[in-house]
Amino acid sequence: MTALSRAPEGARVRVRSVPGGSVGGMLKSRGIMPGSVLTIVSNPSVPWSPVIVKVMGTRVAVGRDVANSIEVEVLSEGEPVS
Amino acid sequence: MRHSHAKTIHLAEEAGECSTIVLLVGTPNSGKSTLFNQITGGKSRIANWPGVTVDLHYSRLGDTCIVDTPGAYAMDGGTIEEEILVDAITSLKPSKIVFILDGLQPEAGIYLLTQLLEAYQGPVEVLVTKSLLSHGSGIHIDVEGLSRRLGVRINRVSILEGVGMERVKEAISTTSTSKPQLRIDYGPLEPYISILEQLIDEDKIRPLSKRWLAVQLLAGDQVARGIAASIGEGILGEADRIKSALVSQGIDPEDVIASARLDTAETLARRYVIRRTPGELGARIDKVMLHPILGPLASIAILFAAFFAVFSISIGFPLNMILYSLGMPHAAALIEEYSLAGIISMAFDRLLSMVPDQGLAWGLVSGVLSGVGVIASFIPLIAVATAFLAILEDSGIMTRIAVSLHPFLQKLDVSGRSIYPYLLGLGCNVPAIITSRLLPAGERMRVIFSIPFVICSARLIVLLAFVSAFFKGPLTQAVVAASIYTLSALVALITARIAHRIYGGEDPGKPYLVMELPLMHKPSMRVVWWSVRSSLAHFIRKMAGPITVAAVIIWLLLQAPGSGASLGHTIGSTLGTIFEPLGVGEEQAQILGLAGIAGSMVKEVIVETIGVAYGSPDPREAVAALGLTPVQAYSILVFFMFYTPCIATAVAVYSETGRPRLLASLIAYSLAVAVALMYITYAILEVATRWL
Repeated sequence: MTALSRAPEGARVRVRSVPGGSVGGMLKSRGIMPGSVLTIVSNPSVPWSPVIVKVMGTRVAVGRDVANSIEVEVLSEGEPVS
Repeated sequence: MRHSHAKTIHLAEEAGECSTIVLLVGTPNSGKSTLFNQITGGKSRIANWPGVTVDLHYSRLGDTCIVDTPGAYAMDGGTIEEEILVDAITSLKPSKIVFILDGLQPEAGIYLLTQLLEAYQGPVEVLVTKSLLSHGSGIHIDVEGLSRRLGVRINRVSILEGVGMERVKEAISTTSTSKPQLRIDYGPLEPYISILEQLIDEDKIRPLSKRWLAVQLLAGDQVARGIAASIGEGILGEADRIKSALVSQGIDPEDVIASARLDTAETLARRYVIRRTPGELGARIDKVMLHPILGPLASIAILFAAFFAVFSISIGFPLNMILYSLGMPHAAALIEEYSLAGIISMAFDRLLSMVPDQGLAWGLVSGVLSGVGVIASFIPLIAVATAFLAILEDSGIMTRIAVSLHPFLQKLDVSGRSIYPYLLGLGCNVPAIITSRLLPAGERMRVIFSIPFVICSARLIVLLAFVSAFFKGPLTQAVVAASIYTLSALVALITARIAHRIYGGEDPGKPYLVMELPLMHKPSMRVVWWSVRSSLAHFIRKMAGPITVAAVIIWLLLQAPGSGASLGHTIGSTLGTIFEPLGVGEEQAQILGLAGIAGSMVKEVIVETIGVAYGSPDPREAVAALGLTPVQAYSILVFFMFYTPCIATAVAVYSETGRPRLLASLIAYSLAVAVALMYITYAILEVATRWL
């Protein structure tokens, strides 16, 4: 279990929990909810950059603060994806 | 229901006159609005921004009513769009749903489609949009296979290219015989779903299915709870009892439902959708735009280039200023004269000079003409600003800009997307307010309310005249100008926060970034044209009348019948008294007051009015003739920057929000802020200069 913001690029992760409230609604509406599997497209190690994940065929940019509060389980380290 | 959306209710009444109601449903940016526009002849707006159709647009074709629902990704009531979608189905009871499946994002579309097929019992027709484009992007959808699997008719169309329009008509008008067949297996929850289903009277919730409602209740969907509460006692209690029993067994129903649905959609997508890698160019642009350092730099460069192009083409600013400061005043004048607005205002000046100079008729005609002239000069500005926004939006670049600037703007409680309207505000507040349409409703209110505090190019003329008249040396002048801009940014940000408290609604206030990155593609010139046409039509229909009337009123107020005692002068002298505590002489205060009244029409008129009073055509000389001290000049400048939105901005605020009280409070607030800041600035500077 780790925060989405700390998942390595190229990894496949399963979402364990997302924050509640309106952020949770926004995440859910873009397919990020407990159980969904994401691929980390890009996660530069700078403190401001958003994390970009691939979910259900689309790429979604997630702000670093939001990514900090999403708990994920790393399924495979994987190869970096373009 | 938890929420009663007034629009839906209103529609439901009118819908009584429609023999059939067809709902258009799809994910954001699926091409739903484009399709709706095409069917209805362009009464609805198009944008590449998720959820721009928060209002329900509808149109009548014979006795069939077509309703465009807001784009949603799911039907869980998690967002306002999802809520409206479910609400539209329950209150309008459509006889058919036409589902728009985004050919560029078929996976997200399939997910929503599976939810719709679970929820809605009537016939569903599916149209796959952007099929030519999606083919070009290497996305292939096995339409026949998916159609057989789901038991619904699926057709490909490409609206922008005009491909498959007959299929659209067919999908809307023919009586469908499709029998959707989709049953998601929820494993351990199945027995409990059956228990709940037995408690639900299907007739009361038609056209929703009772199985869907039962599943939603276990998923804890608030909208479903609202529906259940309205149809019978005890259902909610039973659902809650089952849920807590399941949780105590270590089963989280929400988790089970979410996973089962995702699995179903993903299995379908894997089976029927093939994706090849996206285009070379798009990938290369993304490499730069999503880079942590290059991205923000490129975004700022693109925004400034757009700003520069929009205003230089339409009004000549800021290219004229740059040429002027490079020592090319003739080139600067030429650019200004032959900008789109320059050409239009030349034409109007010529018309004005043809009106015989006498009597009330002359007054009225020239008053109306100058009002119409103001309107006409806004048209190129709005057209060009909207066109650039549409290009940035449709290509997908605006989303990249919003993402890469988000981390920096978030600190100011400003979202990445609102930077475009704010930036436009530096040129002119009117297109800034109009283009704020790309923002979600809650955020939009605070952006609209704070944009008038962004110093536009008309106020820059006033600023430059004051700075060059009362401050010596380029360094001092630069510091003064920069400090005024900084103050304006602060006032705008604080105002946005206050406005959020009052008008924010459900908006969280803090901008969070969860944003889908649409595939980059070449912007469609037809989409750009539709967008320009729609904002111009809005401007002319809703704003031109009020602006002309207000301009004529102010113009008449300022026309002196006989002596110099017009009503405008009287109001001007009254306003002028606020400058007297600054130690400004009575005559100067009156001139300043009059300038303030005249400037509420168009801000650069402030300088012109002072010029007329002192008989000097040169703005610097005219302002210098006021003989103010630097401290007085600075404080009065602060007042003139914020004291009221100009007429056109005021009308834009009113027509975009439809709330007269909001406009009244904006004007009162501006005046109060300007007066307070003027006195505070004066007091601080007076004390500071005495100490130094």
